[in-house]
Amino acid sequence: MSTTTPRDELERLSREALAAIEAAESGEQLEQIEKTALARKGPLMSLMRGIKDLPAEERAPFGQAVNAARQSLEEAVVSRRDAFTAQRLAAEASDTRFDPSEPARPLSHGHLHPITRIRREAEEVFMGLGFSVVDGPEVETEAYNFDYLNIPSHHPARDMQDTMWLDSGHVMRTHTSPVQLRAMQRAEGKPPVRVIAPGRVFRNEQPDATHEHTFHQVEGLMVDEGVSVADMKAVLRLALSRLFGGSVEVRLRPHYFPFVEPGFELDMRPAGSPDDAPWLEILGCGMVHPEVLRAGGMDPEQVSGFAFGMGLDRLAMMRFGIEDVRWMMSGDLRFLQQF
Amino acid sequence: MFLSLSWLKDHVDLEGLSPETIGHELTMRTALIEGLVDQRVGLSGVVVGDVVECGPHPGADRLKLCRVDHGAGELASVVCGAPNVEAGQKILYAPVGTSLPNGMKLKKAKIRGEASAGMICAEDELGLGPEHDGILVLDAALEPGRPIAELNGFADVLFDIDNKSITHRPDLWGHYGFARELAAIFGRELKPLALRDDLKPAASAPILQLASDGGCSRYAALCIDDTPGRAPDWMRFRLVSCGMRPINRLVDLSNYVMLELGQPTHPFDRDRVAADTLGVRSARVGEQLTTLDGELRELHDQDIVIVDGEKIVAIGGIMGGAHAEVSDSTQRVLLESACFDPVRTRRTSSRLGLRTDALARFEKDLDPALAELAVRRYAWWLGELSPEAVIHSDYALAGEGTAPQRRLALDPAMVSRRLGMPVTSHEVQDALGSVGFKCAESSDTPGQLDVDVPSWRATRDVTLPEDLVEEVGRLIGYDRVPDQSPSARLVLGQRDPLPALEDALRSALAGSAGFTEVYHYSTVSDRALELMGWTDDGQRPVLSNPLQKDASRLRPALAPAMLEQLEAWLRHGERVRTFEVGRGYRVVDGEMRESRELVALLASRDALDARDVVRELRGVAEGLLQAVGRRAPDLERVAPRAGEPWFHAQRTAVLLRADRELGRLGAVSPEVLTRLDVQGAAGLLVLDLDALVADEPARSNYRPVTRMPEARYDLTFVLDYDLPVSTLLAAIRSPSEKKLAKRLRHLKDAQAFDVYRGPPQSAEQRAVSVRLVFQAEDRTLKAEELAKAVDAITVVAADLGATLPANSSASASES
Repeated sequence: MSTTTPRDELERLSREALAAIEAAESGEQLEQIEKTALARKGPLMSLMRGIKDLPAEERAPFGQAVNAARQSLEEAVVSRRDAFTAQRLAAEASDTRFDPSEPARPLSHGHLHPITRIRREAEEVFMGLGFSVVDGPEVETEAYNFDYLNIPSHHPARDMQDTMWLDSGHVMRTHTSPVQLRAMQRAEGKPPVRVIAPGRVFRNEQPDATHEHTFHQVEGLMVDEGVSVADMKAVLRLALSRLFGGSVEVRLRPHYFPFVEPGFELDMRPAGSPDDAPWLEILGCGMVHPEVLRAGGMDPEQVSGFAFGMGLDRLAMMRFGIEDVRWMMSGDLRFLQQF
Repeated sequence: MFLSLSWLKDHVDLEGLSPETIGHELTMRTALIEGLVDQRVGLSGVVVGDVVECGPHPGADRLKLCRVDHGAGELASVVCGAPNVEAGQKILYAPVGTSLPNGMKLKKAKIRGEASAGMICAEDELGLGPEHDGILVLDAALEPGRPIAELNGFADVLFDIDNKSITHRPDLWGHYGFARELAAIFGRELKPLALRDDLKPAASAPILQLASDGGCSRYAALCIDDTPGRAPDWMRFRLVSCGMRPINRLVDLSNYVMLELGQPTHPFDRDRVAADTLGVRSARVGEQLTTLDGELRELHDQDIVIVDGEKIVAIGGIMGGAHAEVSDSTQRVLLESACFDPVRTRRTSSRLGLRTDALARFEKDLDPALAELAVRRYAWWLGELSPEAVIHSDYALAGEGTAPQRRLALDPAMVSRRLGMPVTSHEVQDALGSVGFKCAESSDTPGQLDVDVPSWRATRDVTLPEDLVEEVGRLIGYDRVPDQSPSARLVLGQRDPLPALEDALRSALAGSAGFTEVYHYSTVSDRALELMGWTDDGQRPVLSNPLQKDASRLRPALAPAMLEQLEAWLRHGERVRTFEVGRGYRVVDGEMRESRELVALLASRDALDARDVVRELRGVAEGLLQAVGRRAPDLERVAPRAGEPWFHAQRTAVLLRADRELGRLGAVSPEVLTRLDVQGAAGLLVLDLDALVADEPARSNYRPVTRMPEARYDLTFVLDYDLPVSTLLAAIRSPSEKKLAKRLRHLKDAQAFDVYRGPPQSAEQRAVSVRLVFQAEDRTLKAEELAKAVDAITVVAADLGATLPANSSASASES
């Protein structure tokens, strides 16, 4: 009767395990085989435990044989696994069943109001030029909205803006210009002052496609020693070029605003336009009136400054192609969720 | 205001200048021209015609058959229905093919069987005047075929001036002022005004009594014997072109002189005013006058009135009375030309709601010297138009008002500095001189100029050297100002804390949180607030002149406008996430207060449990605060205040930092939802941004990453509603008992992450799942340690009344 020697047992185990490895059809099967055949308490390793029953001179060669068998099995596993990987990669590389227009999983995001978007752009541009962003009350005193801005009561200039009055005698600010005064006062008479003040303003007029009774402006003010019309022209041209995404040229036309002297409307068009190309009126501006400087606590003998005011609604309408300003305050999600 | 080019040309030579050039230069140097109306365009084919024959129309009694010579050799046959057409008349003939300003396009036609080629025109068909009853009959001396454009005043070019751009310029409210500007701009000569020079103020004229209370600084009154008659066509057409209605010669001439000089005058029927007792005084309370427009006006004591004896005949500077109006039967006229107080006339006008062309000029502060000038100009024109008129050479004059004088000291270097470009003293003097300023070298300060302001600019328009900078700048041309970057001191451009906070919050909400930003008006309708169950606390500012009666009050908070839209929003989508950043307005102790707020609205068409709405809102609130660098706030259940009836009475909480409120969140009250017709669930988060901006941003709580593995356990507790989850977590995080605290020393974090309501729990309880994280700094925790710690937690929880569900065991979620 033939007895199975440990050597025979080793050979059988190796053979069977190798066969199983070769026969494995998936990574999982292979892993399973690996776990059973090569486990620490698996059959191969249990042969190691029987080594102590062998004659002393056989122990070392047998140990080496077991280790060699184990190593070759491990190599077989690795090569089999590599084969699976290569197979999988090849399959993926040749799998043509793909359509990128299958429905996407949307990235959740909200929407900023178009005025917010434009306002931020304007803020970024002016902050880059060293202007700070400040704000002020929307309900103003008559003094700040008018008197300190050189618009005394019973002056026809008051008619230039239809005013919403409160029964307390306050006004819904008709422009962001009162913030000029507050910014100068905050500087306590010490130039430089370089601020912009975006915000909501109010006029008592019936809305139509191009007019709202509640709309948005950004006010700008630069006060320092020796500020000139040339400085104003340069700053505004730079800023508008950035805002409109290309170099623009600007021109100044005389206009009356009580709080500046001289006062202008500023027109712009793309730089290098032909001479007869149309100009677009874009903002009102001027050199801060000495009375306004004084009301702001500045000495008009020592400093000068320029101020401007620009409508954000119109800017947003131009940028996004919005046809009717009344959308802005509508709260209509079909409008707002396009931005 | 419209300016007539032909009229301007009466005062300044504009030969060789196109209307476009004139308009452009005015826009660039004086005032915005908003538009150009070229009447010639519609009337290009219209010519003078001679009605050679005029006979009856065989087929119609009212029509006539005319043969018109229009200078083309062949006569045109025209059927004409005007009652006044006669042979021998010179008329305006519009040939076939003409498109008239009233939209009519002339074609060859047969009218009642007779061929008609072209038309004999009435003035309204040409857009020149109001008359329709008859054709326009021209001066018999005109030769046929002459184009209408060559007839003075018939086909004009009009400039539409933006009135706002001349608010400060009393001198520009008439053609002569603009002619002066054009003369300066183009270097042409301004023609002197023809004036009647045999007139003089004299004692034999009517006696005038001016009250000394300052309402009228100058008053001139001229007596004329003349009947109204009709002004010449060209004059009537100019008036129409400039927006006035022709009435009769005496009235039209008054308007004409106003449009010329900017000085209003007023003709009274002299037989209806007692000229010997003419006076100007303040009205007395209770007095009344029926004005020309037929309205009975109640007068106040600041109104300026013209009286004869006691009877009021006009409101000074605004409108005459109906009683003394010039009518067809008028034989004699008293012409008033005065200078009224700008402030008082303006006040009266706004109180009466009566704005007139005269007021538009007086409120600009006219040069008192104009009063007499207008009298002389009117008299000159009348002499031209009505040779039979008797103009009394003595006119009444009262008041001390004279041409204002003002001298300004100007340093030409200041002009250069302010404009930012070199301008020589010579240029300064040339520019100022061209529009009537007189400059002289100062005798005191070398290099400086003494500048005398002309009277028509000196009332209040030009008072400062800065005003002279503008004159120089615009006349030499602002396009000469270089575009030169300032060399300014470096300062940091930054956002104020509140605007910065607002923007950070906006970004966070509009980011992956998925909220849509909305803007709403600062007013809110009374109806909306009623639906919210708001009872007015008398602290809402009220607009005194609202555009809509229902929206006369400012919003106390942002929530109402959001909720008002909710029903519409939910029709648009199943879920709504919107927010607004803005201000609420209150009057507190007589002080105006603006509260800075953020409101976020969450809503769903599904009837969610209000408690789950609040859970979601809390996630939003905490995420939002974290996004702006603030720690998570404490939360407490709270009953809504009276001023926030939109919050659910039982599902509202306050966000707290120490004792300060940062905001509130809660489900929307079911009654409010019902009244708003909203099916589903909604919740609001309101942040008080004034409080939040004062809340210190959290300091960084970075700790070095521990490399030892974490052990995570999830435990579910069942607890009553009177045991807040926050209390349970606080107890677990820091047990009061020392022994338990020691066993829990490796507990790194404990967070509730889910809640389950429903069986097997009773409705009074809920199951809350808590994730526990254990970690030692220096080693891997042993299983026994963890078991002991979890055990300790169940003890802590049990002490508070939170139990493990019957069949539960702790599960290690990861290790």
